[in-house]
Amino acid sequence: MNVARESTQEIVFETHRFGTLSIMEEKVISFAQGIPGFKNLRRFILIDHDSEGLFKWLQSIEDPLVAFLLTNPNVYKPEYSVPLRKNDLETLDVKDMKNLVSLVMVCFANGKVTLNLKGPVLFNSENMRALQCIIDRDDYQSHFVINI
Amino acid sequence: MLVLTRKSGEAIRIGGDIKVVVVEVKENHVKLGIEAPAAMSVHREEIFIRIQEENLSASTLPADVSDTLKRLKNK
Repeated sequence: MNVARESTQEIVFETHRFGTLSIMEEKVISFAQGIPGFKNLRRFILIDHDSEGLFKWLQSIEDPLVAFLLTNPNVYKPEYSVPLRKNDLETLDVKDMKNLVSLVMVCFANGKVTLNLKGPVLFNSENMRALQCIIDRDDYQSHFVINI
Repeated sequence: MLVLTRKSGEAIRIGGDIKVVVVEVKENHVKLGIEAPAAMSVHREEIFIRIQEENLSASTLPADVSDTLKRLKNK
């Protein structure tokens, strides 16, 4: 019993949307570079939103109010792929590309649900490191409208 | 703000591991080369600001929108 407790530490934190959460430390996703606009926040967790797991909340552990709704961009734009830069792969310490997951943020603007294809979030499930890429490409819009 | 004068081909160092080189100066364009550690992200300012604004907007997604998305997918 004692050994198990030492190896997996439980953390408890407050959130605006989900109340008090208690999770294991190994579930914590770390954004070493922060997220533009929220540079002081480094630790997040992913929470399923719908039963199919298509939408997930990226909830800050450090700020109860900060959460982003994320989704798989390929459901709405099949040809979408994140141009991977060597720096990003190094930051995430990617050993196997299979462990890399990219999700995009859901926004609501002018009465429409949009995806930010210019700022995907990359996760390395192997070590729980993540970062937000910034893609400077005209064909990937920051307000890509999805029909729901 | 610190202002330094540099010619084409000259560089500045920021701390021990960031180097900014003036690659080319042409009329009102300056081409810069940046060497920085992998963990440090480097972006054009206007794009960085746009992503910042997008993120702030994404963090205030109205609850009725997320509820609608959830209902659709739970059907």
